[in-house]
Amino acid sequence: MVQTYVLPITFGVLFGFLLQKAGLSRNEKIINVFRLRDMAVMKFMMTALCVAMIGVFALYDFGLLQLKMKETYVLGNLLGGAIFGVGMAVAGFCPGTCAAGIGQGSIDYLIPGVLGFLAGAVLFGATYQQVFIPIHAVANYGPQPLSALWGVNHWLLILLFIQLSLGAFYVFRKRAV
Amino acid sequence: MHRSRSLAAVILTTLATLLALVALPAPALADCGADATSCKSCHEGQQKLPVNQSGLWHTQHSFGDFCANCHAGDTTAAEAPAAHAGMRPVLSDPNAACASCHAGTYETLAVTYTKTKSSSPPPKAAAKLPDTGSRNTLFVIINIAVLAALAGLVWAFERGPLGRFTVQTPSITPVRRSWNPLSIKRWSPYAAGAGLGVVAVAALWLSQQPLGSSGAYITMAGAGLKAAGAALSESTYFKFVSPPSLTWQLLLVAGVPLGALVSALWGRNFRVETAPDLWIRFFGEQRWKRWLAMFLGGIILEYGASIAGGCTSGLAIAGSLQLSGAGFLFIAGLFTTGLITAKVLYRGNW
Repeated sequence: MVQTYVLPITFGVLFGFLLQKAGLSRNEKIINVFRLRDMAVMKFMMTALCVAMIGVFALYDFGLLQLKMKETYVLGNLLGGAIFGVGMAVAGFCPGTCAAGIGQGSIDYLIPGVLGFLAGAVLFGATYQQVFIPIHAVANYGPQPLSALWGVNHWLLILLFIQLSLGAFYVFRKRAV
Repeated sequence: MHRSRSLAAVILTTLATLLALVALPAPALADCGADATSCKSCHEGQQKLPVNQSGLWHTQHSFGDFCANCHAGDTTAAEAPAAHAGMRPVLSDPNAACASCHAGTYETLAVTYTKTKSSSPPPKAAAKLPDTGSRNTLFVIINIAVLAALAGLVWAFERGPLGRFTVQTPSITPVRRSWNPLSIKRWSPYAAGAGLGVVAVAALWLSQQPLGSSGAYITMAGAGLKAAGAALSESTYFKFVSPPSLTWQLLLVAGVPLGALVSALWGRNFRVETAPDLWIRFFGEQRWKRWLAMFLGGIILEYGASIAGGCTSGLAIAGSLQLSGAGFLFIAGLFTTGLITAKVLYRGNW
């Protein structure tokens, strides 16, 4: 009961709460990160990553947690991301912030937005065999972290990411919150 | 009056969605914490006998959870011995194994796979284990180099030639009149981001699940197709890869609007809007334009996310935080085209 229902809904509520408090559920925030006018999205994501990397790999090192990630398949990850970026700059939302936008009263997220996602899902399912399977097979490295793939201690990669994040935060320190 | 009626509509819709979700069958849980049908999650996720890199048939089928279609076994059993009972040697009857999915072309497929099996497969992966010691040294050097570069960057901005590039945007500091952070309209992105980081760790730790959003829409679409009796609900994808059920991610995404509603009401910035101000400023008042853009944008977003294997939450955040290459590649792809598209759409005002 707790595992099946309570935990996911609780995490979802917290997720939506934080997205709305950071303003990411507003169209402007997403559009303006691509116009390089308001880097809140970047700051939000990089902070979340720095904190979560430390937490996850600390628990992992103590054997308390198992990693669970999708496969890395270079062409598909890049191409999918490139398609995704177009949609994100056109509509100013993404699947997670759409759900958050619904909660703050954005009707354009609730009706055409969700219908668009559902149509996209149907389209993907219909073209799955023809499109996804060949793309997925190109440069597929399986579900493993870069640390395992490159044979590097994961803390060295985390330290590198934190350094780059701090650099980005510094460069964009004067951009609006 | 009008506003409160719209508010009621939003809340009712959310509740109705939640009720509809509960009507879907709940997944059974195996002792490893994965879905019972998820042979992959036990083998791949926990790295016990990972198989998806060995042999053509495995790599070509590693995208889904098809193990039982060929190997048989009991996919509803919660413990390993019971789950493995009744497994069959696949090549004893390759035709039968392939026919369960590829009704039309199974004969040629069976021939291909039998051939690949009899010729010894080329040794992969294990032969090329990287030398950990020298890689670590390399990354220590890279870290030191980056640190030096950052110091140089700060110097260039504070004392040197880059100083004039510092943008003096007046920072919009939120007015903090309240002692209660929950009622503050806008949090610093650093504070909210750190909070999300903690949530992401908790989800992986307590639920053994990465955050993610795009998958929930797939599940909903699959359920819709099934309810409508569409032929597509019988396709490989909607029947085997992503069958409609009450997934963990679906419940997560159902919680998101509730959390955002609480945040918006508490911060007094709940407002019913059919098009955002920035859009109206650039593209005019007509609502159909905005709604068309949202619909098309939604299709593009969901399609792209599905090709990549996840969205901003599932790949960019939940993937990257586990140092998955997929997450970083996805971020690179999305920022490249996002910047270009915004430049085209909001030209002159980029």
